[in-house]
Amino acid sequence: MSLLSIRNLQTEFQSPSGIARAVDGVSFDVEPGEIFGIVGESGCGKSATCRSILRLFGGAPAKVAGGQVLLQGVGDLAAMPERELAQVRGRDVAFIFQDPLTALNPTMRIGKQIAEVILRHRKVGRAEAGAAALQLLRDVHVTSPERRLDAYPHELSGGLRQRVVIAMALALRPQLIIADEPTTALDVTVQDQILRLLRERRDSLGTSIILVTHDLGVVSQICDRMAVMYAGRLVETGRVRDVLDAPSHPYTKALLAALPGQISRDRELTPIEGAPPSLISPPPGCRFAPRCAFAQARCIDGGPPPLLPRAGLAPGHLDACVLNEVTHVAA
Amino acid sequence: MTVLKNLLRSPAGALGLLMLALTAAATALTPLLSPHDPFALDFANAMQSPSALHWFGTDNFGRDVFTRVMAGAVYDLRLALICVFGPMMIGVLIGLAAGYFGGRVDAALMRLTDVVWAFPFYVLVLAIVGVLGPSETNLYIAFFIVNWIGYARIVRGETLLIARLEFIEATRVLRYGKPRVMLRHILPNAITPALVYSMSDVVLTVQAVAAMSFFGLGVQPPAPEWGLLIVESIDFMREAPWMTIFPGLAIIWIGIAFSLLGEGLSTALKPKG
Amino acid sequence: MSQLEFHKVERRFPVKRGLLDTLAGRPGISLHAVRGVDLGVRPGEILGIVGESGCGKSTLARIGVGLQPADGGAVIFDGQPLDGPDPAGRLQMVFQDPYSSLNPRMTIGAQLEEVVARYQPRLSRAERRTRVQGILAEVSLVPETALKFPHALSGGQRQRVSIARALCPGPEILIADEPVSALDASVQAQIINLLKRLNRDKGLTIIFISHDMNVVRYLCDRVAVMYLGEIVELQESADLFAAPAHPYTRALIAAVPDVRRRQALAEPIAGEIPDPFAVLTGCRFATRCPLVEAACHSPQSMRLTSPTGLVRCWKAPATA
Repeated sequence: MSLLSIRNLQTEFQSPSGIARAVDGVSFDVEPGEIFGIVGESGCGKSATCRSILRLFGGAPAKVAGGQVLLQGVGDLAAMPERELAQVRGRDVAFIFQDPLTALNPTMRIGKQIAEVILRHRKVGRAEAGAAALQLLRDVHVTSPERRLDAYPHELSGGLRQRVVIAMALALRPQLIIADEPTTALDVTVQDQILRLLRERRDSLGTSIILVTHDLGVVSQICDRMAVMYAGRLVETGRVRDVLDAPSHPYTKALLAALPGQISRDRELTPIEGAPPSLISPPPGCRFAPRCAFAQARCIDGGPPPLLPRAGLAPGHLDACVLNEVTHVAA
Repeated sequence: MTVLKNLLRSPAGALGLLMLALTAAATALTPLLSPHDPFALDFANAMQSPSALHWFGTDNFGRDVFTRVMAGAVYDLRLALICVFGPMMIGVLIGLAAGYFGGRVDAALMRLTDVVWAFPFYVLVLAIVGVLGPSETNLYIAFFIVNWIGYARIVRGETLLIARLEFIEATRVLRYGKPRVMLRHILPNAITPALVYSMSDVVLTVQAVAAMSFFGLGVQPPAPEWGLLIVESIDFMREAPWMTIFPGLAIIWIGIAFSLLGEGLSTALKPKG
Repeated sequence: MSQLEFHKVERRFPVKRGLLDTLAGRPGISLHAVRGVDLGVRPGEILGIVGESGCGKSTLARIGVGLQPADGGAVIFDGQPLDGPDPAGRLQMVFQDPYSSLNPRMTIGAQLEEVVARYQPRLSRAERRTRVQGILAEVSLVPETALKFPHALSGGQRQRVSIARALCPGPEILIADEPVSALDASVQAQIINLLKRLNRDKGLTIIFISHDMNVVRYLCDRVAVMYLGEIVELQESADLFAAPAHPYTRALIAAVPDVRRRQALAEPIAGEIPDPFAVLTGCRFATRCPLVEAACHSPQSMRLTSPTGLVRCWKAPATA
């Protein structure tokens, strides 16, 4: 049974020009102990999706408008009243934000902040919480952890801060960690360290991780399975090696083709022309069709194209392109 | 332009503009609406309550209150606008210079601001008018000396932020002259909060002007300035309350109009994206 | 075509000291952002400058365009020491953030016409308009763009406007400070293609500052790697990526995730960028280098590692 099952999730944001459906019918599963990547460009809804799981919108005018978020052993997070959900946060599901500087309280020493997470959910003494905080810092390989307990966030570098944030996320041994672009603000050498740390923690503790990023390289480095998102919907899912080595949806192919990593210097890059559609009044049918090199008339007919297994794809590899022949595989 | 359009789109802005438009119309149309002379004395008809002939009644001198209130609109609005937008221009330029040049220029200008700021607003205005003598012109002088500080502070703060932005760095690479950068590039971006502030400043200034009249240091009788109308009506509040009520309502009306306009302006001026 | 050269360029930022520090007689500290950079820019090349935070590449870029002075050494442009931005507009800059690079309250056309008016004052209004339209076409923007305000454009379009603005004075050298870092990958490709085209078709020399090794590998002819204010390696792009000579360069390249495979489990370098205020003699990478020895703590100089490549490491393979 999956650890997390998201079924037809819909999230709406209020804006002056209307209601934007940032997440429009997203479904996927995350297995225990797996690192699941959600990748897409800005505005695709990947951040909104993961925030919707815990309804962490930071005061923005957003709400989960439909669908289910089923967490094993806990229930449907989408339908849960706020008071119960507040208990789930931190204890069963932890969240790591992109900017470690704003995720930490600048006026509180980090030892205290970590201990606070523990004290909020467990009935233990302060000394015990302090000792646990020290051990957590060691688990995330912070050098001189005793000294760091007394430090304030601004005294630490970006990488160290992110380690502290990860330590806080792991404090209560949650089953699932959601990391929203955790390394985007970091140098690439530090990013490498943090990604390895996340993988190592998963290996030790069996925690599942949902990793949201715009960087396909990051997904390749540590994710087991992944989903590609565009304009509020998933267009392709599957094991990372299947999707990246044999992409089947035109958008995934176009994304990979635009990367300079592989192209020889004397050839031009292939950008994706145009821009993503408005989420307030999106086009009918497949939302990538206006920019797709392969689009045909039936791409814009009908409703949202579903994620289905297609001919020639590995098991578990699905895409939402209506032009790809469907295989009837026993689930 | 687009700002006006956006202003009309917000309910506050539209209502504020409407109220001001009505005021302007009523003031302009007063000669048609009312045959009375705001200054004509008519003791026979003194202290009459509102009627079909005198919509707001008459005062102790028999003057038609409606006509005087409408005529007063011209005084109060003129006073408020000059006492706000004049100092605003001074303050904006000082704030721009302080924020853009920094260093010693900034230090000197901010010390000047602090000195003026140290005196309570009313005390300073009263002192200046007290020394120069009560008159409309001296009221202007007092406000010009005192009222620019808020604008200087606001615009200096905005300028400090804007001067760091990359499009200003670009003007330095392109070697644009300092006046051009300050006036064409920084000012339009820095002035928005000052404009919004000016709307509430108008409201406060109308009240300040009226308060000056209480001290006999503002506009002098027989000018129909609203504050003065209220002062003159105090002795007659029992017998002829309409002498106090209508000028008071007029001050409130203008206050609401500019407050709404300020709110609408705040939304309309936000650059999108 | 004018030459641009950095000769032993230094840049220090003094840090304000509190009263207690002054009273205690503590010496002033400054951030040594750029430490003795020697770099010659070849006309017509695309030169990449890469490094992580605190390496000084952005500061170096601003010194190169004349926005900041050099505290030591000099930038020589067209035979003369650079004293502020070039009055003839031959040195131009493109910035990182598409959202603050343009004046939000002026139309695109107005902003571009302003540049043309400044550098070609003798053109009539109509001629100016035509020139602006021409430049918009060069950056693949439709003529209607001139009527729009920045907020109506996407990030990629705004960056193209920034490039257009830099093209208006007819520059010889364009210094681009992380021009694609704030854009989505699919949009980055548009800007990268544009820069490549401008370099190839107009002979525009480009200094491309970036932290993204993949983009630099694709776009740049030569690459300079900076670490804590110094250039540690300077090579032809192909040579650098095929056989990086400096341990930091190797670590940097190894850390870049590759979509084609999961990361090889080579050990990442330990630790992070050390305190930039620390005064160190010798190699600044020594605190993290896997190959460190005693000799690394004496001052290091650049050595030839190939006919055209330089590296600041005495252990790197060298020619001659």
